[in-house]
Amino acid sequence: MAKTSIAKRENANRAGYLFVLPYGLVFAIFILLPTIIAIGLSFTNYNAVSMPPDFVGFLNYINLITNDEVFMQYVLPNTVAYAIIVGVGGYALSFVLAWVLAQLTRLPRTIYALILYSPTMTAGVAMTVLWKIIFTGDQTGYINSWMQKLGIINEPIIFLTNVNYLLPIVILIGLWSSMGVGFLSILSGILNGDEELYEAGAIDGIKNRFQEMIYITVPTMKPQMLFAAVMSIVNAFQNGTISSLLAGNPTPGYAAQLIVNHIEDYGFIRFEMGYAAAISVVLLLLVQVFSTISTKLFGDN
Amino acid sequence: MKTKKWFSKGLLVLGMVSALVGSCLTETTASADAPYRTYTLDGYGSINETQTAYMPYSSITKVGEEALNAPSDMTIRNDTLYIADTGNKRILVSTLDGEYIRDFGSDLFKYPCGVFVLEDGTIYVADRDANSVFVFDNEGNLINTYGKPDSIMYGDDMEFKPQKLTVNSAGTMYIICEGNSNGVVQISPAEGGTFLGYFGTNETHVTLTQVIQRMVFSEEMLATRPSNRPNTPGNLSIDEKGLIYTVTQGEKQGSLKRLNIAGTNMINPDAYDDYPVAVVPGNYDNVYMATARGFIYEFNNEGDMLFVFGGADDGRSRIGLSTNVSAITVDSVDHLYTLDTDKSQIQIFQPTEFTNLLHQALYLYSKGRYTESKEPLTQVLTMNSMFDYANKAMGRALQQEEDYNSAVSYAKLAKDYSGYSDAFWEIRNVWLKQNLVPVIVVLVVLAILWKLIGYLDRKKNILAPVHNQIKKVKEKKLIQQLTYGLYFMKHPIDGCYGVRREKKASYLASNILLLIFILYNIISKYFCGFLMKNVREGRYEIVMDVGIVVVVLAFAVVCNYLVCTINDGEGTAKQIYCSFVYSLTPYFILQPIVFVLSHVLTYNEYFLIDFVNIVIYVWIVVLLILSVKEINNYSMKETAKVIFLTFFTALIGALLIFIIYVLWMQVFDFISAIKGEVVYRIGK
Repeated sequence: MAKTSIAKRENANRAGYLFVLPYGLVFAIFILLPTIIAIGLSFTNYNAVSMPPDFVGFLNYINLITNDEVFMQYVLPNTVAYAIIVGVGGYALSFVLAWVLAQLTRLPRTIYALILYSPTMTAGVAMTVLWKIIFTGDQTGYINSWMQKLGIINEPIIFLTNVNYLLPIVILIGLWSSMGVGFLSILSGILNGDEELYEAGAIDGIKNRFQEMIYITVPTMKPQMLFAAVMSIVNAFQNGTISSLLAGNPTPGYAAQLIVNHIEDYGFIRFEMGYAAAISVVLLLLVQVFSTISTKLFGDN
Repeated sequence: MKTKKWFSKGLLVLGMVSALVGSCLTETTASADAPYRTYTLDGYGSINETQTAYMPYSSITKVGEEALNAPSDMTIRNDTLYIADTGNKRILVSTLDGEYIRDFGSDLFKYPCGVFVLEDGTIYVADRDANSVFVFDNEGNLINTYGKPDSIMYGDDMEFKPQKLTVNSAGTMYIICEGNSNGVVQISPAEGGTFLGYFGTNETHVTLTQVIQRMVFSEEMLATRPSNRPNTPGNLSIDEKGLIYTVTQGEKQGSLKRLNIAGTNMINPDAYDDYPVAVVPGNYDNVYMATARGFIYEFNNEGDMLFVFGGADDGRSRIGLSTNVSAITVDSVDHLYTLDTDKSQIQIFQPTEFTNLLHQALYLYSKGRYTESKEPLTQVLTMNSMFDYANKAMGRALQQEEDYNSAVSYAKLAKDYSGYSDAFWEIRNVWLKQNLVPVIVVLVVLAILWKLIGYLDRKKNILAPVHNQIKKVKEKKLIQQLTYGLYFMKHPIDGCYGVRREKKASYLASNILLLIFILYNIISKYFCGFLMKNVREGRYEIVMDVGIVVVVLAFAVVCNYLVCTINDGEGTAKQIYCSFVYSLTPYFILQPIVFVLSHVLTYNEYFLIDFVNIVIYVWIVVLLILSVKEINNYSMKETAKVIFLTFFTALIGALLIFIIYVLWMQVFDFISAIKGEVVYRIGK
């Protein structure tokens, strides 16, 4: 009796599964499967040539934490610093800018939103035409030229190979290009707020825009806020293009080596695929931990 | 009271008399105490007295029959002393004891003020008033004369007034000229003197005002401003590797420089003097710098100050004190010679055994022979276990030998933070290698157990008694008030409402929280990890720590309350106090993390601590501002005004307390004076 009813219920969901099927298939083939393969590879010493690879157990992970001094001394601190500053800072920046944009009328808002969003799409081009010129290491670079004109420095600073300046520069560019999908979702969240709520709030004694934001805007757009938070943390951890475009891979003195650069270094320069897979699994865990934390912080209980 | 005063005065006089007697005695005995104190920098960067590094040994006032007359430079080569006896217009050659060998050049010179001798005995003399550099062979025969360079690069209007000079092994002269701020003049001997360019020019210093002026002024306006000129080096010297040392007055940190062949500075000394006049490299990669007032600094090859000693003569003309030093040099057995122009005297200092050992150790250490350097270092440390450079070198040597545990303890002694960080990183790495797998297994097992218990609890309710107990505790009013901060910190606006209207806070709970805060503060100040610690080892100022927290908080609450009451604030003193204490909650929650991290992190990961600290302080400030706003029901503008007024009130309050303190001190003085007078009269 009970059995049939369960069967019935499951049958009732068939149509639903059918609808999910296309996405489910694509997701399984292009995301789930590669992840599983990567986890599998991380337990081997696969090097893209010898087949089949030897199974080495947890050796890659133990080596990563105990023997890879570059990882522990440079990559991990750099990545965490980058992710925290660009993740949290970029999130705050997205929110503030989205809120400011929401106060504008439609046309300028669209134009400004496009301008703010464009760095995310054009990172490579912007890097060569903008940032590399600004930070050029001789007197032709904008910053060096200005500082020399004002007499702050006597000789140009070679920014892009200087261990002290590289990470701050990468973080700066990271912040500049952090108005991504999260920014758009916050913007739409603010714009879709219920006008009636604001009117009701005004009647209940809300005096200014700040109070409006705290008491009405933020509570009504919690889902978008959560999405933006998770996106910004995840993106911050997965970003490695800025460093490698700016200073090559590996970066001078590992000064701006992020975890993604480290994976590229081992995977596509040294072809130690097994080890690279182990690092990507660690990255996966890191992202998982941080997005759990942000879900706890911003999500509804 | 009066008698007591007299007594202490008497003691002082007695002490002075005994000191005088003592000094008279020591002057007559051979093994005298030095007439000056020797200081060193400790790991905290403060100057401490240490044992005498150099003893005054003897002095030379005349060579042969004739006394020196305002000599201004000297140098030692092949155990022979060459003195520029400026007043007598001659170069004097003597033995190291002051026995006359020969002199020369008295008809040629006008004002010989710089002398340098090459390895082969060639003598270079800078003559300021003759505008030339004269070169002599070892017997005193003139070989060459160099006048003003005729190169355009030198500058047509620039005069050539050589003061001091030094020459490298290729014969290239480095000459400091009076009134030439372009730098050290570099002349090669080729083709009768080729000007190679200026060398070792100091940098000009740009102030913020000048930067702003350059941003906004027009070209014409800028042209009227005085131009920035760099300070000219005052003296220079060369070591056997051809590195040039320069000293410059008024350059602060750049007063002593070691320049390579390209003119790039390679050391950054951790001490400086405003009036350096002479410099000489020592025999152990060390360098000595003399100042006009007679202080002699010794630095190691990394620019760490090892010793400073000597000083101005107080009129008693004791050996070791000087009135106007103008040159310093060192011989092959490490005796230091200083030339005093005003006294026309050369003073000789002899290193003590302690200094000799230290030199040996630091030399071996700087050459990378760590194992050998440990032996003399140990001896230095038995003589003075608190000599921080020896501790630091010892720690680094042990680090090279991979004895990390000992390296950590020496780095701690020397306050060598980066050395500590490196050694600790290695220790931690070894620990991780050994224990990582067990730790992960334990963590996984614990996580599974936790889930399992949670599951069983949901299904079978096995933890019901525990839950009931916790619930009972939670229902107690005091506990609710104590834990209210957790809610307050996440929802400050609702939290303030709770404090105002729902009686969520009480004096008792806030006082307990404040007490815990103070305890936390003290524990994390004195027992945090070495890298975070910024108090001296073994020094506790608990009363002060407690006092500061209590006074600052009390002041903030009182001032804020006073300002709010006259600005339509709705809060009571209790509400303000409680909300301020609750605003400290982020510290309660996050400080333990900082504390634990400070024990396991090295400088590589130190940014995590900085980050958590920033979060704590920003969060607290936001909570404080919001609680001022909400407790008194202010708008943002009013809040800003009230906060500004609170600071102002606090300032006025502090001033008031200070004035009252001063006035009361006057009253007490007055009363005690009357009392003394009465006692005196009655006694009479």
